[in-house]
Amino acid sequence: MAENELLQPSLDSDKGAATSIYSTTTGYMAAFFGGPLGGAVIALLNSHRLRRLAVDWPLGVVALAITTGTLWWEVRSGGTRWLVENLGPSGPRVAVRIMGLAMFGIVYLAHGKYYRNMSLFGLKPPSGWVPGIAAIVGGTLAMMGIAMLLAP
Amino acid sequence: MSQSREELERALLAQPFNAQLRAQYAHLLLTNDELAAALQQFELLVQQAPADSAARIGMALALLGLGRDADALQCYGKARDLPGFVANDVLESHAAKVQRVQPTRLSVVQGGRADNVVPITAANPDRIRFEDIAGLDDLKRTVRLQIIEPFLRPGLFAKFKKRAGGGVLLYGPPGCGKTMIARAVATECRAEFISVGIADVLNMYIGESERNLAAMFDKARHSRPCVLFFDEIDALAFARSKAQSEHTRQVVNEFLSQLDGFSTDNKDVLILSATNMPWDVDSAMKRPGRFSRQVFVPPPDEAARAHIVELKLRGVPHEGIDGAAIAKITPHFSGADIEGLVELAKDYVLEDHVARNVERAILQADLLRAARSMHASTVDWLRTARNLVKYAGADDSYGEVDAYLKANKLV
Amino acid sequence: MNESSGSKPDLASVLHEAHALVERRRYAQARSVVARGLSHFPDDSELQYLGAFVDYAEDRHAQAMQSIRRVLAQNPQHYGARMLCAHLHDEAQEFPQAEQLWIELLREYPEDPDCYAAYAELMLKTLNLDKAERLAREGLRHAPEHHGCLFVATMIDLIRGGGSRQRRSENLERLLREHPEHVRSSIALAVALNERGEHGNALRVAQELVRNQPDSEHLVTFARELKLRNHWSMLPLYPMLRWGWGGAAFVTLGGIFALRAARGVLPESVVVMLGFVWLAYVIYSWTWPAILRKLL
Repeated sequence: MAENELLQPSLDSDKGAATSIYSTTTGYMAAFFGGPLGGAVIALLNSHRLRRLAVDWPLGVVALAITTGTLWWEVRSGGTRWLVENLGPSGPRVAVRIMGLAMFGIVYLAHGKYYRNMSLFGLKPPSGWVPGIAAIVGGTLAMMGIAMLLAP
Repeated sequence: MSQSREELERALLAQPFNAQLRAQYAHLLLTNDELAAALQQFELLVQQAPADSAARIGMALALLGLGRDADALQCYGKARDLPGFVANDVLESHAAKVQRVQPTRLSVVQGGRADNVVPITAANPDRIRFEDIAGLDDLKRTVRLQIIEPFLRPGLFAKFKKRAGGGVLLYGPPGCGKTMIARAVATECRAEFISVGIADVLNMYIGESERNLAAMFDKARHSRPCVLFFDEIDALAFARSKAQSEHTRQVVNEFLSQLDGFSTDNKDVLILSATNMPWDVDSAMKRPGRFSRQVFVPPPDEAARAHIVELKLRGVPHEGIDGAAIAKITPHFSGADIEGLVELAKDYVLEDHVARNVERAILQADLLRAARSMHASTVDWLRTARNLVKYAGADDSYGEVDAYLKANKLV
Repeated sequence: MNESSGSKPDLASVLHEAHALVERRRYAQARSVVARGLSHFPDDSELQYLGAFVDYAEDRHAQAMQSIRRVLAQNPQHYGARMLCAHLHDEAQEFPQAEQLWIELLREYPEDPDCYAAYAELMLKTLNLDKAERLAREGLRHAPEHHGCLFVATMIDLIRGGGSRQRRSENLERLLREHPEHVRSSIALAVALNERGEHGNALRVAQELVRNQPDSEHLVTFARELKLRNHWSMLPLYPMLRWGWGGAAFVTLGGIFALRAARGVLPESVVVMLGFVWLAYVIYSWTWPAILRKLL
C-alpha cells in the first residue's frame, strides 16, 4: 500500500539527516577554478549528503572523461597550439574554465532541484570553504597529473 | 400611511383638533431634530388630551433633546401614571442612569447657619481633559481639528464641504495614551463615554457575540451625545484573512454591518477605536464610512516625558528632581514606561527604608538608576512599524509613522 | 466572559476565551486567562496545551516543550499536543523526532491532510523531494482543496521547474482559487512570480504580505530580497537575477570571448581598459548585492 511506504522513516536518527548541501557558489567556484574534476568533487560530496551516491557516481566518470578527453586533445592532438593561436597564451587555462563550467552545468541538471529547494525554503548551506579549496587544489593537481601521464 | 410635512401641515389647518394628525406631525418634527417645534406640538397635544401617555412621552423626548433633562424625567414620570403607558427605551435608560450616578450632595456649613449651606457636587473622577495629557501638542491639534470640531460644529464643516462622519482609529505603541485621548475627546465633546472591550463582546454561545456588539451600538444610540470607544479593536475586528474560526469572521461581519447602519444615523455619536496592531485590523474596517480616519499616537516627546515624571511624583516625597534630565535619557519611553520607572525608583527608596532603616525621599539618582535598568517598551512596535514603512510599499496609511521614524532617525 | 470575583469559572467559557485570544494573537492576555483557568482546573490538559501553545507562539520553545511533555504524560493521545510537539522538534531541527511523531499521527489518522501537509513540508526541509511530493499527493487525495497540501504541491512544482507551464500553474491556480486570502497562497504566488522573472509583481505581492504581517521576520526578509532584486542598481546583474548560475556562466564566458575578440580588432590600450571594466563588473557583481542588502 502507498501509505505503508510513505509511513516509513526517511530521516535516520543515528546517522543524522543532511538537510542541506554545499551551495551553488561552492560548486561553481570549484568547477571554475578546479576544472571538471574540482566540480565533480563537490557534486559527489553533495550526492553523499543526499544519499544518492549510487545514482550520481557516473558524474565522477563524466568529469574524468571530459578532463582526460580535453587534455588528450591538447597534449596529443595539437589542441594546445590551436588554443594559443585562437585564444591567446591563456587559451589552455580558458579551456579548463569552459570545461569546468560545462561540468557545473551537468551537475546542475542533476542537483538543480535540490538547490532550488534550499533557496525557496531558505535552508542554509554548510560552509563551503574547506571542501571548495580542497576541490580546487585537488582538481588542479589531478589535471596536472593526467597531463603528465598523457605527455608523449 | 406616512405623509409628508407639507401634507400634514395642510391637514392640520383643516383639522386643528385631530390629535392623531398632530401626533404624527409632532413625531415628524422630532425625527427631523426640530425639537422646539416638536415640543410645541406635544404641549398642544397634552392640552388637548391630558390622559394621553404617548403625548407626554413625546414631550419628554423633545425636552431631553433640548437638554432639559430634569423636565423630561418629570414629564416621563407623569406619563407612567397614565393608562396605556408603554415604556420608552431611551427615557428608561436615561432615568436609570440618573438614578445610578446621582452624586452625593455635600454641604459646607459656615458658622453654623443654615442659610450659608453651599452644596458641592462630587467631581466625576473619570473626566479627563486635554490639559491632563502631557505634551503631544501636535496630536492634540490634529485630534481637535479632525475629530472634536467636526463633532461639535458639523454645520461649519459641511459648509466647506468637509466630509464628516465615520469613525476614527487611534493607533500606536502600547502605553502611549490612546485610551486617555479617547476619554479626553469625550470630555471635550461634552459627551457620554462608552468603552467597549473584547470582554464585553465575545461570548462562547453562537450568535451571542454579535448580539452583544449590536447591544453596544444600541446603547450608544440611546445615550446621545456619546463617544463609543472600541479599545483593542484588532481583537474585535481581527483580519478575516488571518482568522481561523468562522465565529471570528462573523463577529467582524456584524461589526461592519453595524458601522454601515450607523453611518446613516450617527448624529451626536462619535465612534473611536484604538489598537496597538493596526495591521491586524480587518482592511474593510478602514474603508470610507467606517474607520477611514487613522491617527498615529506616538510615544511622548521629551517635554511630555518630563511632565509625566513630575505628574507621577505628585504627592510622593521627592527632592532635587530634574524631570528634563530624565526625559533626555529615556527616548521612546511610553507613558507606561515612565510610570514604571517612577515605581522602580520608589522600590529603591523603600528598599533603603526596609534594609537599612534609612528614611528618605526619592532622589534624582534613584530615577537615573531606574532609567538605566529599563528599556523602552515601544522599541518592538517601532521596529515593526519600520518594516511597514521600508518594505510594505508606498502607502499613505502609515505616513505619520514614516514621518515620526524619519524625525527620530529610526529609518 | 467576565466572571464575578471569587466564583469558579466555567471551564468551557475559559477555554473559549483562551482560544479566542490565541487566535487574535493576544498572547499575554491568553496566558493570564490560561493561568486563571489552571488555578481552578490544574489537571485540564486542554488548558495546559493552550499554555504551551502560547509559549510556542512567543518563541519560548523550551518552556513550550516542557509543558507539552507534561500534557502528553497525562494524555498521550492529545492530538493538538502531539502536533505541537512535532512542530517544536522541527523548530529545534530535531527532524527525525519530528518525523516519528508525524508518522505516528498518520498511522492513527490516515486521512488527516494537516498531518500530510506538515510531514511533506518536513520532507522538503530535509531535501526529500520525491517523498514530499507523494505525501502532498496523498493528502490531496483525501482533501483535494487542503491549503497546506496545495501549498506544498505548488512549491514542489516550482522546485522542479521543468515540465509544462500548465502543470506548474495548476496547483497554484487551485490554491489561489480555493484560498485567496490565505497568507500561504500569497507567498506561493510571490515565489512563482519571482521564479518566472516577474520580480516587480512578486515584490508587490510581498509588500502586501508585509503590510498584513510586518512583525514576521520571514516575510520581511523575503520582501527585502525582492526589493533588492528590483533595485535600479541591480539592473546590470539581470542575467544572474533571472537565470541564476546559468546567467552567470553565460556572462563569464561571454566576457572572456568578447575580450579575446576585441584583442584582434581594437587597440591594445582599449582592450586593457575593457579588461578593467570587466574586472570592475565582476567585483561589482560579487560585492554590490551584499552592500545593498545592508543598506536596505
